[in-house]
Amino acid sequence: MKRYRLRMSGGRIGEERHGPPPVFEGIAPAKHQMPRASGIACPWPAPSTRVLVGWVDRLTGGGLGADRHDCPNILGQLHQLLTRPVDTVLCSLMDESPEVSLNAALAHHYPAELLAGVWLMGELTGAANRWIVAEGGTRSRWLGEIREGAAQLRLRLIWLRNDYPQSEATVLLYTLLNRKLRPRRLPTEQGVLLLDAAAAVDIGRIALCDEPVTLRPMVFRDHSAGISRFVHVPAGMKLSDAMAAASLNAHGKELRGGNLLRDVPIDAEATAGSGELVIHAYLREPMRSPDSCIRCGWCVEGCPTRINPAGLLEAAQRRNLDLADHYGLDSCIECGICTYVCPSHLPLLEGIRQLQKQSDRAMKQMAGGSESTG
Amino acid sequence: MDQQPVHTDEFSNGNGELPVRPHYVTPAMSNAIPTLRHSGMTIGRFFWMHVLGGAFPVVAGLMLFGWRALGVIAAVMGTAALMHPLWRRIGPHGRQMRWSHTLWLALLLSLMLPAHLLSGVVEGESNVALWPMLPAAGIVLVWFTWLLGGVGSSRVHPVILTYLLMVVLFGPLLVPHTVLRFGRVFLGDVNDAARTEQVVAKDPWKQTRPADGRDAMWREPASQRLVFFTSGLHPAWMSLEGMLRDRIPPLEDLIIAGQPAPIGCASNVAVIVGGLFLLYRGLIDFRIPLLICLVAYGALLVLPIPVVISEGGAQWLWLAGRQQGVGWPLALTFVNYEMMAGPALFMAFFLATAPAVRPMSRRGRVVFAILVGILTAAMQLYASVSFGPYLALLLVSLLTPALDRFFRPRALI
Repeated sequence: MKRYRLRMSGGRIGEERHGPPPVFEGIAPAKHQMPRASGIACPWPAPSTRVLVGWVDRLTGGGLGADRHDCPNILGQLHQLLTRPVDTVLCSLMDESPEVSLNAALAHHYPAELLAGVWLMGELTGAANRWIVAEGGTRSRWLGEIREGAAQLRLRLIWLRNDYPQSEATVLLYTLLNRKLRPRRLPTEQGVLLLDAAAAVDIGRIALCDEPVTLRPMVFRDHSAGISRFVHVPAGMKLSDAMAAASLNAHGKELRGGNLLRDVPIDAEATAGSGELVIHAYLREPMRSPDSCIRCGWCVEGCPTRINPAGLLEAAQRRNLDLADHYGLDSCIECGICTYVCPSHLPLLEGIRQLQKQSDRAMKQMAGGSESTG
Repeated sequence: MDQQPVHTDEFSNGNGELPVRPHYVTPAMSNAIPTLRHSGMTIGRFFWMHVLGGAFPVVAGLMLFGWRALGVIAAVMGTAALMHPLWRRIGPHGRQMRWSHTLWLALLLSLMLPAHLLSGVVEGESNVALWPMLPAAGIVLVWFTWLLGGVGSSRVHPVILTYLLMVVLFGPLLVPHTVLRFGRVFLGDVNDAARTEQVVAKDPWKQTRPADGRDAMWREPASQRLVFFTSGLHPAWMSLEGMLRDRIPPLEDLIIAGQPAPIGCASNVAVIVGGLFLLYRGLIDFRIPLLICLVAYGALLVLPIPVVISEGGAQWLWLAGRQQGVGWPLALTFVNYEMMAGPALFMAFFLATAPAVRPMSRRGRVVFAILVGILTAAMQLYASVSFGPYLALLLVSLLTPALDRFFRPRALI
């Protein structure tokens, strides 16, 4: 997919560094070291619908949950599998924030679980394509066991450059399979079951060890202090408590989940669950008044889905949904690159989100109207 | 839920992070000071980087036209700087004006003017002092910028409007005739030249050694020669071959430097280098100048040109290169002169790429550039080499809103 041309600046993308993968520490003395599976046993029978239903129930009951940009609504995907076949199981080891190697680190530490999870989903769905997508460069050195295991299990390992927002479901499916997944829709609608490393590890752990998912691997990035913490957080633990336990001070700081550019606010009282696994903490930056649009076109050039964010802002200002459709509202993945590059500091992402809310309200009104007339 | 404390670890190499430089951080942003969620680019920085690109033709202009060129630039930019805060206070249009944008436009306008405008009454040349045109140009430019809605609002380039107004009012006074001698670059007085009968020098500029000891040389500019010929109004019998052989200066002088021209258009090499700088910084789209030049070149080869001018009139031929008696080498030479003698390259790199003037989508820009290229060739041949490219851009830019609406970016979904 030639979604946009990469403009190389002074530094290379994915600059090489020689460093070990991060180590996740456990939570309690009894489970300080989350055990690694020694290998993959394959006792599972050939897939059938009843087996699939059983596994979906088992995974759901085991606490599997993931609803983030790398892995949208895994439970919804699993339930859609019951009625909609897929031909591809795709496990992405790339991270929303390319500089944070959470998924690659998980793949390094829990290769057996990850491979088991991917293999299991492949067998259950009967998918012809069983792929693991990973990023090259430094992180590829962490994936030796994954490479070997994938070869044994006939899983295809694909190397891809992780340039934000490559790991986003819409962009990833288009890059690898040339399939057009509407934003905010499930990948199974396009015949793909999409997992990230954390979800695959959870599936593998439930299958191999018959253990429920009680820990969430997370990264807390404190931008003020310039440090990151890779931790295992008990599911349901408040983020503020988790950050305090990780010796990070969240007081007075803004919290954002996923990639910073998406500007997804997270409440400190929220609990560790199925959402974003990378939490950014930073001091509030001074707001800058937006200038007028100078029509530089950088937002259009930078947009990975080739819409016109400046036109969408104009549509938001006019509250014109037809104009918004004309400029590609449906294709916006809310990556936030347009807001990042805009020299006028225009609130493009905010305008697009307002438009989407307006569009959702309009659709609900239409649906309500058609029901009442029906 | 178990709420036991969380244990953490850090990397030996620091924060457990690996540095990346995303694709959306362009070279233009490399000097900005980014925050966590913004590149740090501002409108001021955006236009100041354009000014850096304009520095190359400025230096070439100063070299060839001396301190008067500097004075012209200072006068126009200074006047624009003085007028800007006044007009900025007036209405919503004023609020859309920005310092950096106004000064960039003023620099562009000054590069389109000849250096001899910084002079009083020149005996034998004009009956009026020329220097008042410079502050007037600055004032009119700021007024046009205000009128057209400030930065990002206008599809019509205020610099082109200002320049064409000057052409209408003062046309012949804007034709440059002098250039500094090779030994007096940067320092000489470009008005210190004696008008001679030898209006065309066949020796390259570097090798010319006038015997009168003056700082500058008086020459008929190549653009005027071409206008006389392509208008078909040449008084005597003249063939295309004869014109190119005997009546026009060496092509290298037009490409590198050495012929009378507007300040910023004297050296096409400097214009290209400045344009490449803007390209490297990611400030302009390569499609526009590339397609304008290629299409204009092709159109000049195809469009009818006079190959012979005689008492009975001019003989116009389409695709002159294929005609007997002309041939491709001659046709190509003619097209080279047409491209280099006028401001086509300057227009392609610095004016046609202006943010509000060109369409936003790539396909729209391609169509825009093709139209500008065709019209540039036509205007140069049938209107004037000196301002034909500007007129072409003005006319095509009126279509930009339609091109934007028709050629929206093809969304992924």
